[in-house]
Amino acid sequence: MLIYRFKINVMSYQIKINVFEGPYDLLLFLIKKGEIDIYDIPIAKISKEYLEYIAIMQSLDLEIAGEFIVMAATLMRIKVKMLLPVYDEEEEEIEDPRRELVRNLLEYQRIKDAAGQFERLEFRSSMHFPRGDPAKDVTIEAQDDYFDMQASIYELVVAYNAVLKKRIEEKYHYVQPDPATIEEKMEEILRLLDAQKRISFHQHLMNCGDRIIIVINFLAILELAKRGQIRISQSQPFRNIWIYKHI
Amino acid sequence: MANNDRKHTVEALLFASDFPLSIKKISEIIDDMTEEEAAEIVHELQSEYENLGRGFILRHVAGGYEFVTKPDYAVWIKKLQAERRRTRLSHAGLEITAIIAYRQPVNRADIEKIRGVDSGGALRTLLERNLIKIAGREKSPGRPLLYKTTDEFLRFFGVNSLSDLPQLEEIEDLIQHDAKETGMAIEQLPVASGDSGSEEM
Repeated sequence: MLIYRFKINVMSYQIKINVFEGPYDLLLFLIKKGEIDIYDIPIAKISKEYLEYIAIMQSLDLEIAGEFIVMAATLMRIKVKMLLPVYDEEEEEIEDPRRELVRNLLEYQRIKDAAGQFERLEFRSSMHFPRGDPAKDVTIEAQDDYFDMQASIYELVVAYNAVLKKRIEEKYHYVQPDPATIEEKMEEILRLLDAQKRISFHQHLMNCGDRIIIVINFLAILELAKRGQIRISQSQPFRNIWIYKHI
Repeated sequence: MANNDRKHTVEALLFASDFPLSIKKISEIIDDMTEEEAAEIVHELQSEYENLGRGFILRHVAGGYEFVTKPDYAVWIKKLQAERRRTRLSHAGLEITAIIAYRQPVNRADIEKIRGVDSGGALRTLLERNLIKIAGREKSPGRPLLYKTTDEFLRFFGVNSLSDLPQLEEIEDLIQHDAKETGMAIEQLPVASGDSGSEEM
């Protein structure tokens, strides 16, 4: 009984892991742990340790950001470059293949240190309370037409995706003629804009019936924008996107 | 207005304000008050509160002055505001804030290049908390958004201005020094970039 409990203690101790902000964070940790000179990194050794760490994280079923894997590939590439003999008659100085990595690591190190200092500043400041309730997160309640920003195609697609996600997925699929044409929807939108000053992108698409109608409407909006018949704007990122008639 | 009255007026303004009040603003509000006089009165009030040993002081932050409680009483204030606690920034939030503070204006891609990871989520949170703001678009392909810190950022970290932030430069010297020894040329990185080709909104 005693031995059993002892084993469990040892196992639970092993599960303590560092949480890394990103691949640079992990690399800096390995460099510090191995007391490695950052200006002369033994790439083979570091790559091996790095991969071992990734393997541990994966075996523990931790979610690893794709960037960690990209860094693994980068390390491999640097390692290969360092192994290949370089013949260059023209230049005297060949760029060290580790150079860019070291530069990035140093830059990240600076920011990480600065972030640590910021944390201390934050803590000190949090001991002072102004009048009222500082815990209230201050958000800018900008009126939606306070200032206009041209909404880019990126924001449109993001908003469109958000609407689609809210629809319940159809479990079956059958082929049928389109319930409406893009031209019809374009006219409909223009008519709506005659009646009201502006239409909410989100609202308009949510009011559609099937998913196919959402797609047709979206295409209609894009076509109208392309033709310059409507104007699309957004006062701030992640706020409402509005459609206006273009005069 | 009698002298004492003027001092009390400034005091009242500071009390009523819900954001750090600048000397300039005070002198604008009160008739016949110059910035020098306002500064004098505010500093007088500041030392008075320090010497009187009250539960609060007048703090110089974000380019202005505001009443804040002393750290000694933080534990009681927290009890008062038990339900609504101010959430601390995550590591990601701190890193991104630092990058923007030292490199503003800066776009998202550059932030992600320095950190080596996607930063969209944390950026959104920082925007919502009004610690950073969008300050136009860069005049380059894709016209990406540019970010800067806000006055609330200064207040949040208890700092009066950006120049009061810890210097990044010191580490810079170390880099140059070590680089010379190993013969590896590390490029000098700018500490704070100016407004390089950004459109103002």
